[in-house]
Amino acid sequence: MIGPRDPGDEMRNLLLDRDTADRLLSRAVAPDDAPPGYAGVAGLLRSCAQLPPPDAVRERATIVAMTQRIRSHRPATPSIHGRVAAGRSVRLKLVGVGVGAMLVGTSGLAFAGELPAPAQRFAHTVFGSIGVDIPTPELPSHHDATGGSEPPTPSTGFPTTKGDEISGLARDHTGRTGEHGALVSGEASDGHGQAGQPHGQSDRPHGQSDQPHGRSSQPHGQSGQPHGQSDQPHGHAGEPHGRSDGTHPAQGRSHR
Amino acid sequence: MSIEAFESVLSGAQAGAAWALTILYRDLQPRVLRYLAVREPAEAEDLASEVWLDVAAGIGRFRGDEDGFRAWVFTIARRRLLDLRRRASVRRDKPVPLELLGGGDRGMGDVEGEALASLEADAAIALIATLPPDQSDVVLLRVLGDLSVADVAKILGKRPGAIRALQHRALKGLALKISHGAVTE
Repeated sequence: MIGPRDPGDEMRNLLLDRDTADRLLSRAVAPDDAPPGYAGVAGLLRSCAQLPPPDAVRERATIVAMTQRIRSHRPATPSIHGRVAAGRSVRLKLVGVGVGAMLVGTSGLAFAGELPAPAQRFAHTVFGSIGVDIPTPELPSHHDATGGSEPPTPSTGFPTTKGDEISGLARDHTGRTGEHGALVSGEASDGHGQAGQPHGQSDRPHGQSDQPHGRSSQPHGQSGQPHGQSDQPHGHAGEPHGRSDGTHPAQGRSHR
Repeated sequence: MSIEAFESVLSGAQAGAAWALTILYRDLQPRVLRYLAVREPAEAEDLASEVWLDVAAGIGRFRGDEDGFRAWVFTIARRRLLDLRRRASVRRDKPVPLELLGGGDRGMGDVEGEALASLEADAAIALIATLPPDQSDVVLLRVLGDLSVADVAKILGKRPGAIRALQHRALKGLALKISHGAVTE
């Protein structure tokens, strides 16, 4: 007599290794090749792939809706051409900003007279043609020749300075012999000592001391308060490059 | 579909070309619809439409091959299913009536052979749907989605070892049901 079938026994009899289970689910096992008890499963899983095509009307409606949605999302992802055009635009803007900054900077330097001489002359010519006064570059001076870095001094349109007077006196050799240097030195110092030398006691012709142009060993006239100047650069009370009273850079400069 | 052919179809679909979208839709819509119908037979059609709209919204950012694309679409389908369940707070894990699985999807090429094959497929899917939900999920995703164990594990948020155990139990359960004559020939 045969009793009812025990599901537990059946489960234990349905041996299935991992690889075969994978192949069954991949529908790679034909019913005839399936392990004992799994032929029906193999056929069942294979039949799952026999699906009917989608409904034509629903398909058309869905495709139209998808197309519209994709096109509505496209601006968020610009095409290659769009990205190239955007990159070109950015580059043009950067170049424009750079050129503008260069023009502004150059103009500023031209107004300050800080450009190199040829550029300063060109700026003077260009701005002069539109009625804007730009300083012209200073002619090379003794100071420049000795390695100085003073800004160019306007050569025209400014009143004669004390430095010019002294310079002219120093160059005028007529009728002066031994007192020439003392005369120039005295004029330059207005009665004060200069470079450690008493008034006009230099034994050099033309009143020159050991230092060129009557200057001491200190840079820029810092030699024991020559010319009544302080110990600031060029001895001018904190003003750069000889601007002692705000009148003009040339004023008070005695080494010309 | 070859790799080159899929890349061409994918780039066309990403550009919004109807021909490319049609190829993808015809390949996957029957599978996605069957998967959704097992869980939510009354909502399956609407859910499938939402899945395809989600695909359209995200296809421009998709990168991958055909297997990856299938896994991505079924991931969306699974999320849509869970969203619906959260909204409705209902679960329908009852066996799915055969007529619901096959309904509303008769279209082109409705020849007798196709209909018979479709009935077989629907009967098979209906039997799979009688398994416990986690087991039937694994089998449906593996069979309908042609997905690997790793892909199914990602979609269901489980470890691959757990997926293998579930599919092993599911196959044994199906074998028992068939041997007991649960499937009407």
